[in-house]
Amino acid sequence: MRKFTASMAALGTLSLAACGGSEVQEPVEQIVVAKPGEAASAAAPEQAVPAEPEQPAE
Amino acid sequence: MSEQDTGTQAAKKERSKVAKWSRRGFIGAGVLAGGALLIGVGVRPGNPVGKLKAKVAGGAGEELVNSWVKIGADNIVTAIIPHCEMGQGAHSVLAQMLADELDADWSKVEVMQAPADGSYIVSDTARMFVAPFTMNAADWIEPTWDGLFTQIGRLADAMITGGSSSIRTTGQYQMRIAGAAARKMLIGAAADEWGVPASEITTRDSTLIHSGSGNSAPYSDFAAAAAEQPMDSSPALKEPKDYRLMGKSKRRTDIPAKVMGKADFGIDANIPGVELADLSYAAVRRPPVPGTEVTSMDAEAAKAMPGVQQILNMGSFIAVVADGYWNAQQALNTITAEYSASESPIKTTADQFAAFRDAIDAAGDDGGEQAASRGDAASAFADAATKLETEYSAPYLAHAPMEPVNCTAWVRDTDDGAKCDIWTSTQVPLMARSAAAGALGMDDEDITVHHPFLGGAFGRRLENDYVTMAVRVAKATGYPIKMIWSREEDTQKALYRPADVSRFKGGLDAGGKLVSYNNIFTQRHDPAEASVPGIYDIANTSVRVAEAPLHLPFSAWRSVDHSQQGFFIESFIDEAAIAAGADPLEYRLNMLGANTARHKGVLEKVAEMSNWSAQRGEGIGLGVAIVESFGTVGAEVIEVDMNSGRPKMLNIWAAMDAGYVMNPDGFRNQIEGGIVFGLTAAMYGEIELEDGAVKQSNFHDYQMLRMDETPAIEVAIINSGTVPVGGAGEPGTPPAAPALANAIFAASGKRLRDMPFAKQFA
Repeated sequence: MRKFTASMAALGTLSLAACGGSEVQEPVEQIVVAKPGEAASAAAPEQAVPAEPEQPAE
Repeated sequence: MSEQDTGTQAAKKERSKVAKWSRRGFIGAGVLAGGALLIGVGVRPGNPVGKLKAKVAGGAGEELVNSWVKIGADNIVTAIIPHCEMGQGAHSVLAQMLADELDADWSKVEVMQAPADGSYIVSDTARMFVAPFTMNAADWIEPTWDGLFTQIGRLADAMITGGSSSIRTTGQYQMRIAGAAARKMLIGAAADEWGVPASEITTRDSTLIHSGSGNSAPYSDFAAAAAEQPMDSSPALKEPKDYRLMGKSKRRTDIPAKVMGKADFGIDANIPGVELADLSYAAVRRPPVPGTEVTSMDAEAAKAMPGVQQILNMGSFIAVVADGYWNAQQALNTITAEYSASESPIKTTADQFAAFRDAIDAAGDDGGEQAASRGDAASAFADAATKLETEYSAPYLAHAPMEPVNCTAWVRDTDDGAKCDIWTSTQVPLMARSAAAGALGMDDEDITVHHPFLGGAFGRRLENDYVTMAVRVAKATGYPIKMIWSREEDTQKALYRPADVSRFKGGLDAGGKLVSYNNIFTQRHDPAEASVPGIYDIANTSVRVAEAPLHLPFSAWRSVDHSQQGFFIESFIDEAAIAAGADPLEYRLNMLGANTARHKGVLEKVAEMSNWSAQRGEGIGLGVAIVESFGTVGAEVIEVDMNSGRPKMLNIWAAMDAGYVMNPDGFRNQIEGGIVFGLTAAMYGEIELEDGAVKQSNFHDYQMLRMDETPAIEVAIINSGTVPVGGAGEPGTPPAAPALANAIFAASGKRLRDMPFAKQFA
């Protein structure tokens, strides 16, 4: 029974670990330089998009 | 040697177990749809048939009701395989097992990867790991266990490829029964049509034959009618003497596409409707020290780099999205960042090993958790005629699969709400789905995981850290991205086989017999029995675990705890043999305990293969090790030449007893690969810590065993008939390191107690 319990815990741990948590987190900082398909370069317009609201780190 | 050492005794054992396999009641209904007969296995109330149909039988003329098997109008049998194909050949062997029971024409058998769907959980794999004692349960309780583990499997998203389990669980308990049930339904349909007894109809190469009337027809002619036949949930399975495909080295179905460069791996993902040239790529960087965060970044230079589209500080990592991977990675390389301070007191490799030794010291003579106990090991040690005290260590290891870690993700709003598609190489597609859902705040049903071939995994792709990162970036950008980790990122910031220290005290009586076995170590993950020297009859045994902190996160690595414990235990047993003045192989044979006929068999076989007792030349020695893992008993002998001052491996012999091997060539491939994997770790594998971060970065300083260092490997298969059968993917690995260390000692007198070995020679 001890092994059974340990194995159940191991399976659950694997499942949770593999899922990598379940907290939704937004970017702390997002800098948009160009859109896909645009000629992205130094000349491209820059948009700084601060995250709102800022989320705690993962 | 012959294809297999299939003995009469083995065949009798196999036959005695067939009835047990055939009783399992997880076969549902066969239903005809659109000219295809589809046989369902693992079908239980509530199966979402309609959803499955669209996923696995959406092609012309195909229609699905409920299935792991479909027979198309073109007489093609398609086996729908729930396990992933990562080079281990499971797709082919599982199809081989199904096709044999179905009497299918192997040249007309195809394989389909089952989608990431709860209907394709591998409940028997979960069951074998959680409660192996239920695998051959009594008839009266079998439905209870089956139902329980179906629910557990679904709750745990147990669509898993790992633990060397595909053949010994899904193959034995699902594929064979699916094939046998389909065959019986086809015969029933033909009997009705031809007006003859079903017992007079035979099958061969996907053809139904009635000799008395001269009738014969391909399976496809009766696909429709067969679907109307009642399905036997306990079809009779073939006895070994009747196998036509099982036990044979049939060619793998995945090889042609791989040889021709046509096979799709996760990194090859193409998004429907998106031109490859228009796809955006993400390069990512995590903080160098685990458990820390990005506190600030300077991306000024990166913004001016060609092709850059977005730069993101995600808190736990930085991402640069660009029009190509090269541009993304080059821009990422210019970003400087600040990170939060680590709370871990472990900064260096020395710190980590000091933490292990401190924990062992603190446990003293009776502290820690008792993992195994028999007799009075302490008193027996005190009274021993010869005392032996040794300590071994193993370092952290990375998985280093050849296909870089990657995940393509597309998060978008649709008329039906937010949806996400993921393309990735994963050993756990349903867990990947749940991970993505959690990271996005979406329901599992709104996530679709596409999981093609894996370019290696070794346990790395049991984790979904990279999946959550990719979907977060894709959500932030609002358009699809293909995230690829650099080799450096995966070497330095992934999850690892843990390092450990293991300390032994052994006591021998006046006759040299090991009568006291005291062992304490710090890392116990899975499987629990890996640290127990259960094959040996030692009157007084104490195995303890003194838990110590790991600086780097844990991940299962090929053979998991056996990878360290095999080295620790089999090195210590070898030292005991030397202390006793005994031949190491004979010493092991003499120590074997109860129920070790298989262990005796592999030791005697490998002794014969290696000509163990023959005198070798000066500076040449043999080392032996035996480890039982994942249901397979394996003994390996390595011959080493030390005359150059460095170990040169001359030959490797392995005798493996997996009970019954379904595809000898595939099995040997896996054992050979496992041996090379184990020898790589033994010779070179080492992840070190500096300032809390991983020192190694790429293959130049995290070396693999080279072709010119790898001698011929001879693998003997012993089919002892054990049921359930054993695995193949991992059991070759654990004996390799101790066999090499023991051989080096035999050749040179130098005992290596710390891995890796290569750096210990000038």
